[in-house]
Formats: sequence, structure tokens, C-alpha cells
Amino acid sequence: MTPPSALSKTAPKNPSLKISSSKTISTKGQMEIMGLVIIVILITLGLLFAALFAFNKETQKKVFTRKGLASSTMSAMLKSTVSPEEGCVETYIGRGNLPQLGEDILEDCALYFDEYKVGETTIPKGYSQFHCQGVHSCEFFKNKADELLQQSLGAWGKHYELRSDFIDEFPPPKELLVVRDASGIGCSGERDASGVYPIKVKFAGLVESQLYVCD
Amino acid sequence: MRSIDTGIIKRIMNIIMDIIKSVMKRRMAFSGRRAQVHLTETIAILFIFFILVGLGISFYGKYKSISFVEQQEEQLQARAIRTTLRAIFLPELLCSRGSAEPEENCMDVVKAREFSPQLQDQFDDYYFEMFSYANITLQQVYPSLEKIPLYVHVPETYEQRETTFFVMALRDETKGERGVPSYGFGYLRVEVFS
Amino acid sequence: MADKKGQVEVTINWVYVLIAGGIILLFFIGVIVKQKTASEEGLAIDVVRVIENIFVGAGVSEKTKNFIDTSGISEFTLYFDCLEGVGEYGLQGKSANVQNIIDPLFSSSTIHSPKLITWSVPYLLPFKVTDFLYVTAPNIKYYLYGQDDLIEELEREGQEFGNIIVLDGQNSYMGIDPQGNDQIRVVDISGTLVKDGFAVPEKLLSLADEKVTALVLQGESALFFQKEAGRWHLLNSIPVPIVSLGGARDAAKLGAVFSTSPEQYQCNMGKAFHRLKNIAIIQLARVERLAEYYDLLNPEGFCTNLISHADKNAKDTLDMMIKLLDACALVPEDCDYQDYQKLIPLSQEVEKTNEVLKVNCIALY
Repeated sequence: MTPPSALSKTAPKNPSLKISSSKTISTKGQMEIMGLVIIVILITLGLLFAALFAFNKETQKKVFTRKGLASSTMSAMLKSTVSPEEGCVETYIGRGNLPQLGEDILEDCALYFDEYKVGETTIPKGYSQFHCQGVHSCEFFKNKADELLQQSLGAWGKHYELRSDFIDEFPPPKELLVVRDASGIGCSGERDASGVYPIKVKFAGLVESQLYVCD
Repeated sequence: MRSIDTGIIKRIMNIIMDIIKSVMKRRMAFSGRRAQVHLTETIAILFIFFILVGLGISFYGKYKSISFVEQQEEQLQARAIRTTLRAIFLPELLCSRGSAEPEENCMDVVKAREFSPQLQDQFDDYYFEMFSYANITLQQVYPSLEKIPLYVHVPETYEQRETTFFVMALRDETKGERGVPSYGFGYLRVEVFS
Repeated sequence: MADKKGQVEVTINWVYVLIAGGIILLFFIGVIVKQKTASEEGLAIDVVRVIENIFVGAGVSEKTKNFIDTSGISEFTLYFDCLEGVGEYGLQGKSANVQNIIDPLFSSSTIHSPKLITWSVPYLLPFKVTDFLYVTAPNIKYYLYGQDDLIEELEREGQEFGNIIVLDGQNSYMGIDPQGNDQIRVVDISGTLVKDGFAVPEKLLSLADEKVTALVLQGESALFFQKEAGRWHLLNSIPVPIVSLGGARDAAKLGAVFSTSPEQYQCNMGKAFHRLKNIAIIQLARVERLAEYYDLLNPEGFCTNLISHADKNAKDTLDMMIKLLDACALVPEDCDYQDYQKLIPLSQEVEKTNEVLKVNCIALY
């Protein structure tokens, strides 16, 4: 007969307990791993969002309203008085006041447009009443407008297109001039207009000018 | 014979008791460990919870700070537009036409040249209320290049700067002929700082 | 023992959950309440900022009327105040407000309406000084009485506003009915309807005292009244002079119409006079440049004479204007509002000189 103490040492362990505890342990481990995975995913997502916010700080540079700018530029340009240094008054006797770019030069351009454009040929030094810088008024206006717009809108990185059309009794309207920015692209897409600036041409018709400004 | 039976029964009882005791001992030990594990789990959950709350707060804080910066930029742009509007329509500089409405998009060059020298002493209070930290300059492009500082109040250090331009006709009656004023071409440059 | 342990454990668990859950809930409720308050303040600040931008825009575009939809903040009351040269407006009960020492703004002390009406009129003395901004609302009714160009002008302009009514006699005055409007203002040019101590139309008794006001224009002076215990009570014992050159769109007179208190009116006019001083300084500097220009052209000429040599020439007149305004700016206590009346003859001189100069010389303005 084996002693009780020996019996206790050799007594078999409860197999079911062993099995159940090993099953529980292994399940718990899996659950913990899943939990860790979820946490890692959450942290990663969070860092991603943080990174997105940190880099997505695009600043939208808003400049004063383009339409207002186009309108004021057009108005200022047409009002500009031609400097005596341009030599405008010399060829036109009887005129006391210095000419304005819009009212006088552009009107003169329209009146004598046929001396400037013969068919497809352009004659820069064709006859006009004002002969500023020794060229036709259309040529002078084009050069001056280009200079002024380059030094303002062009210098600020804006694209622009200035158009002047002469409307007389013989349709269609004649395109007097087109002035575009240095790139030559002008404004074909999204743009703001200055509004039409009409100039009456004595006994001949109307010159309509408009400036388009785009980014 | 009877004593042998009693002895065997006693031994069997002892064995059974031992088994029961060992089982009880194991069970007790196991449940003690279970409690510890349970507590550890609870602590771990709370720890993770607070980490998540902390992350949430930091994301919210980051978002708020970025949106604050954007708001500041928007406000600076709004201030730039307000300042430009005020400068364009300043009665001290406009091209008046008697009692009629003043000329639009026009500035009197003679007044502009006198503005800063005459009112410099008010740039720290009255005109500061109007323009705050800003640099307002009138630049004539035609017939000659001329830069006329109107209001200059630049802070020593600044974080942001917003510049706006506005083209204007510049009237100079002393350059005209036979009562007709002469108009130049130029622009107003308005820089605001924050 | 084990049963008792289980019972204790369950109980402790529940207590623990309740306490912890309660703390967490309180924490989040606290955060929400704080955020709500902060966002309300933020909204008020945004609103006031937007209104400020609108007022600046409205102020610079003269002779324009704007209709602003404020239905989003209809539960709030806007307040307008002006004290010691500092104008202030904002939402009542909120810390968000705007202070302004530059732009004169004439309105009632409070406006509670889903719509605001702004009207900008230039103040000329004789050259443009600044734009006056008048702020009103459709639920503030103006009852006008008298035969005057001002009444006709207000009636014409008021057609767009929809809150200006011309009374045809005593009966229609006594029958004025609030009809759900927030405020009533009576403008009496004749001085017969509204007098200190006179009874207020019966139906107006239901409105609060500060919501019923009146203005009496006696020549070029203004008297401000407010309802008090069912009668008109004179707010300013000394008539407030209207400093203007008269004519159409008299900005100073219109300011008195829209302003419900004499203090607010005088405070805003003070802002205009401060601006006038600066503009007069620039005008004088310009005149000096013109004088130099004419001195080179023709020192003994007609233009030079008018600008700098003749009696009551432009230079001297502008100089006197500046000195008068300077005196009031330096020592405001010694300066009575009545002293500003001296600006009127000086402005008339400048206007006269300008009319003459316009013909053959460079105009002053």
C-alpha cells in the first residue's frame, strides 16, 4: 500500500483544469494582440491627421477686387495726360491743352485708322493729327498702354488684355488695338472686366474700350 | 481485521482530503492571480483610454491653432481691404470738384505731397486709429517716376504682411494748361502688418 | 464567506462605475459648457467685425443706402454710444464691441431689428470733410411735421427706407400708433407739436421712455426731447447749433434727425470737426503751393490776389478755421459747442472765394 504522501505526489493533475486554463490563456493573448493592433492603427491615423493639418496650411492670397482694379486702371489710363516730352502738340496747330490718352489720342487713332492700317499692313508712322513720338496715334496709344500696364498690372503678376473697337456706320466694328501682357496669353478663361469705356469720335462713331484682368 | 479496515478507510479519507486540499489550494492560488490580471487589465485599459483622450486633445489643439492662424490671415486680408478703401477715399487726398461728388479713382498729387509733412504728428494717434500698422505709398508711374510716402508706420517686428495695389489717376493742377488739370498714372501701395 | 465576498465585490464595482462615470460625465459637460460660452463670444466678435466692415464700406461710398440683413442676430440688441470723442457699438451684454474715433455714426442708442438700414451722406464745410453714416431700422418710425425742404427731402429718401411718415396735422400727430414698432421719433420743424411738458400721443404711452424721442429744429438749432412720465422732456436746455451751410442733403441736420441724444450728436459732430482741422491743414498747404505757382506765373495777378493778398483771402480764412479748431482741440473744456458756429461764416468765405477762383484760376477744392 502506498503512503498517502506518495499518493499525493503521484496523484494525476486534473486534466480538465489544465485544458481549460490553457484555452483561456491562449484566447486572452489573441484578444490582447487585437487590442494592441487597434491602438497602433488609431495612433497611426491620428498622426496622419496631424501631419495633414500641419502641411495643409495653404494661404489664399486675396488681392483687392479684380473688377475694381480693372475699372480703376482703365479709368486712370484713359484720363492720363500725355507729357509735353512726348512731342504731341507740335504737329497740331491751334491746340493749347495737352492731349489725354483716352479722349484725344484714342479718338485720333479712330479718326485716322485708315492711315494706320491699310489692309493687313500696319503703318506705324502713318498720318494722324497728333504725332506723339513721331508715330501714328494708334501706335503711340498701344505703346503707352503697354508701358503703363506692364509697370502696374504686369509688375504684380497679373495677366491682362486691353481691347479697343471702333463702331461706325459700317459694321462690323473695327478692332483698333489689342494689348496683352508680356506672356502674350491675355485673358481667355476666368477674368474680370473693367466695363466698357466709350469715347465719342466726332461725326464718326464710338470707340469702345475694355480691359480684362485675370490671375 | 476491524483495525485494518479502519486503517484503510482512514488512509483513503486522508488521500481524499489531500486531494481536496490540493485542489482548493490550486483554485485559491489561481483566483488570486486572476484578480491581479484583472486589475492589470483595468489599469491598462485606463492607461490606453487616457492616451486616447490625450491624443484627441492634442489633435483638437493642433486643429484649433491652425484654424486660428487661418483666421488671423483672413482678418489681416480684411484689414488690408479696409485700409485700402479708407486710403482711396481719404477726404484729405481726393480730387474734389467743388460741391459735386469727388472724382473717383483719383488723388490730388499736391495734397498727397503735403499729407505726410503736415500731419506727421498725428500718425501716432489719430491716423494710427485709422490705419494701424501700415505703409501707404503713392507711386507715380507716368509722366515721371515719383514715390510719395503718405503714411509710414511700420512695426519693428511683424509676423505677417499683406500688400494691396490700386491704380489711380493722379491730378496735378499746377502742371495743367489753361485751367485744365494734368493727370498722371500711378498706383497706391498699401502694406498692412500684424 | 464567498457569497459575502461576491456581494461586496458587486457593490464596490457599481460604486466604482458610478463615481468614475460621473466624474467623466461632469468633465465633458464642463468642457461643453465652456466651449458653448466661448463660441458665443466668438460669434459676437465675428458679427461685430462683419458689421464694422459693412459700416466702413457704407461710410466711404457716399450717398448710398444699404440694407443689411441681421436676422441671424435678431435676438441680440445692437447698442450705439459716443462719449468724449470715442464712438462705440456692439452687441448688448457681450464683450465684443468696436470703438471708433474717426467715423461719425448717428443712430438711436439701441437697435433691435432683423434688418439694418445705413445711409451715407458727405459733410461739406464747404469742402468735403467726411461721410456721415446714419444707421436706422425698419422698426424705428420717423414722424415728420412741418413745411421745410428737409421734410420734403426726407420724405423722398424715406420712400426707400419705408419708415418715414409725414404728418399732415395735429390730429394725425395725436393719433400716432406704435403698431408693433420698436421706437418712435417725431421730427417737428414747426415747433408747435413738441414742447417741454406737452403730453405725448396717448398710444405711445405703452412704449418705454427711451423708445419715444423727438427733435425740434428751430432755425439752425436743434432741441432733443424724450418721453418721461407721459410728457415730453427737453434733454438739452441750450439749443445745439447745426453747423452747416444748409442746402440739399444737409448732413449735420440729418444727423440730428437720426441721433436720439444731444450728447451722441455733439460727440459725433466733434469727430467731424477734428477731421475738418486736418483737411483744412492740407487745404492750406495746397493753397500755399498754388500761391507759389501763381507767384511765378503772375505775382500781381487776379488769382494770386484772391489766394493770398486780398482782404479775406483764401489763405487767411483757412488759417482762421484751423486756429479756431485748434483752440477747441487743445483745451476742450474752454471750448463750448456754440463756438463751432463761428465756422459757418468762415466756410461761407471759402466757398465764395472758390466760386470766383473756379472761373479763371485753379479752384481751392
